[in-house]
Amino acid sequence: MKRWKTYLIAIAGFLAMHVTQAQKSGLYWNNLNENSNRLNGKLRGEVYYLSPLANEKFFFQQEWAKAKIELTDGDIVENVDVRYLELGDELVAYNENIRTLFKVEKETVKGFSFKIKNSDTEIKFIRICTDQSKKSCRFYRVLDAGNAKLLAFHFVEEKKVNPYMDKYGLMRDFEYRHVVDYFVFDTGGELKKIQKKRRSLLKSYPENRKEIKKTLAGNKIFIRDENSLIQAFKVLDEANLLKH
Amino acid sequence: MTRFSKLIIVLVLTVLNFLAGAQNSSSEKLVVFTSRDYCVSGDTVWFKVWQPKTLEKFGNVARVQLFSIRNNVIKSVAGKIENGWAEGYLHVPDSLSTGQYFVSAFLNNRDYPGSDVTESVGLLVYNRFNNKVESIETITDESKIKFSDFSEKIKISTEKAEFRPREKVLAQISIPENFDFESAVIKAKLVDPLAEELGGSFLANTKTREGSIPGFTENNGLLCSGRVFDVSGNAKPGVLVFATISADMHYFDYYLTGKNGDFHFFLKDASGVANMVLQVVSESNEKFVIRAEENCIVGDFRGEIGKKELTKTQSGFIAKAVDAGFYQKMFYPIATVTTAGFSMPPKFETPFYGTPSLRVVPDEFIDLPDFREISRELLPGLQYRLKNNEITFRLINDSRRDYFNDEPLRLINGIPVFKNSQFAALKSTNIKYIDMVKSERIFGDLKFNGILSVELYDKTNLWVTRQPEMVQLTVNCLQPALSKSSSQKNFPQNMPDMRQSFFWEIAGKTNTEFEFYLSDVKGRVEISVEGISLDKKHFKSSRIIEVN
Repeated sequence: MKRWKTYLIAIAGFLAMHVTQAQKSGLYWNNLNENSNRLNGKLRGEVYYLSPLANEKFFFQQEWAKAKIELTDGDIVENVDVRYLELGDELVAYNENIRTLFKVEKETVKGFSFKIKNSDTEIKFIRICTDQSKKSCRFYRVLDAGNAKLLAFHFVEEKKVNPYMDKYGLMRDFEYRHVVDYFVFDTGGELKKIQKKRRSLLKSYPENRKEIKKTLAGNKIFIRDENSLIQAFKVLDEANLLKH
Repeated sequence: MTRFSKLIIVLVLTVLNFLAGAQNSSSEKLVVFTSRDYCVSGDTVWFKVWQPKTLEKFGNVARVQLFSIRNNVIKSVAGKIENGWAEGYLHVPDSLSTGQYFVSAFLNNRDYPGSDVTESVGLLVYNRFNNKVESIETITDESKIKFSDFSEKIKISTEKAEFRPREKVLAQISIPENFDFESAVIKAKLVDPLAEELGGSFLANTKTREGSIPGFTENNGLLCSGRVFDVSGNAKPGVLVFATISADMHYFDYYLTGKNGDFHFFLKDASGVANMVLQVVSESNEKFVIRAEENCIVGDFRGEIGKKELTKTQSGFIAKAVDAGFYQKMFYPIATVTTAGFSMPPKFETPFYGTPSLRVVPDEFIDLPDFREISRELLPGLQYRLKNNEITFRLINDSRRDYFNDEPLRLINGIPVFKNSQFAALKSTNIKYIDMVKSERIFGDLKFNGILSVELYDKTNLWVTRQPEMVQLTVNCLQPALSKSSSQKNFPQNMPDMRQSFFWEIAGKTNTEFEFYLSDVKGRVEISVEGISLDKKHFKSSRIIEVN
């Protein structure tokens, strides 16, 4: 009986194994190593080729920064070298293993954060979509997050200028400028564009005009630049004035 | 007495106290409760697993296994822990022989103190083809956990002590106001005289059977593991394994085998039974063997295996239970618990290869007889070349306005295909849609020169069985959330009701009133509250009623 059981187990074990033939894939996977096996999931995207012009003009930060990327499925990928590409609103990451730059697939990213070199300040970006269309999804830098969020959208625009000779010896009549638009993302999920002016806040929240004026004056805040805008936003948000 | 000798005495007493406590302790362990302590083969046994808060960070998936005295794993399932509890069932195989078995629960990540000792609940199984049992192999009492009797604290009462078959029982559980406990379950079941003697919870030193399975924290998903060997039986490290599961949004992943030839895939939020297709990619044409690895623990019970001769009462009960099982099967042949289909919500809104540059639906065009015609007529940017009976594909790179040098990643129903001849015979009427990605894509550390993905109407993937390079594995993922219905079905009067387990719920911490219907089976019925006290000790309070 015991021998019969042994034979049965041996046959069952043989059947449980599967013999397969390896195949040539045509894929290049020589650089894969144990670090390539990330059980929680892998980052994906489109390969990106960096041009000298892009390297100089189109990115938010000049140097690569180690970032923490939060994906929409809750997974967090840490220690990834990234640069935020303002032209095109993409997150470019560097894959060390295969030495390739790629644009992380936007639909999979919920947000990312990193610290600029020699600075303790954490820069955080989140992705917000204003409607069902994928084209409405953008990365916004979070300047302040309270009940409402103060966001900045960075982009590069081409501006016509007088013709000039650039450093590569080419005649150009345009230049690239970094532009920042500011938005308030309120608790109702509405994204409202504002400017670095008191007038803009008053126009955006007409029901709370008087209170906003009073609060800003009382705190001696004059909105002139980004820092004063953040300060004003903090104070108004705490006072619950940034809502309809 | 010197200070030093006093210190020694205190230390010795502490160690002794700890050792004594260990026999009754449930700290840092998953605790399993089962709906019954005996069953007939072919029955379904329900379990509830309680997870202490201290173990929450080690994962929320409880792996539950039914195994024999000799550590043969009979059944293994995984359930998601919610609000501290995982609930599920184990279907005991029809052919399982009579004996003492155990149900144990563990987390995949066992990197916490005390994980090397596991509690297992005893389960006596009686083979349904043998109703004459005179002796049984069993573990001696050394590993048995002592339960504290809390009958004076938790009072269970019924309106009377004797009932008739099919009668309704109304029970009350009174819990003192200042009394608290960690967790407890209420159950009402027929008393097996043998299980009364041999049943209970047992401690065992345990370790994972397969050392190559990583102690990965399973949160909302399951780790599926396997190994790759060459035909001589040597583990193959450093080969690439692709895994695909065809679903609404196909699952795709890769793993580079480790030094033991091991590979692992984490299936997040996957429940039910999955059909996973595995392929080994290597630059040689050698044959490999893929073997699934069972994630289970092996126990080393502190007691010894011995043989127990049964009394007439015990043998008589077993005979009745087996007969009851026979009638149950005869009148209710369909299993009460059916395995659910596979479900794995997509992680992202786009397929793993990203948003396609172009999606073509052949249905919108005239029917074309083969893929060559389809590629010519419907797929701009795809070159289909036939040379020396070999088909090659080339896809255009949109950003470079040039064709890629290498072939794109080719998929059929999400499964990578490296033999282009698979595409040749596909016609319009077979194909639901074709996706093309005309750019270089990154997936982890893999780079693809474009993607050509064909989605067929036929999702059965029978064509995979004809591919020697592909292996299909059936993977039991998380058990879908199901709990034993405690509201008693009132069986029709003209059909026998052979139930032996009547009530099975998590106990609340206040006085409770509940009811259940007895079945046609006569005997002693135990209503009990079993649980873990605040000082991590097992307790039990019970009341016996007679069904005549």
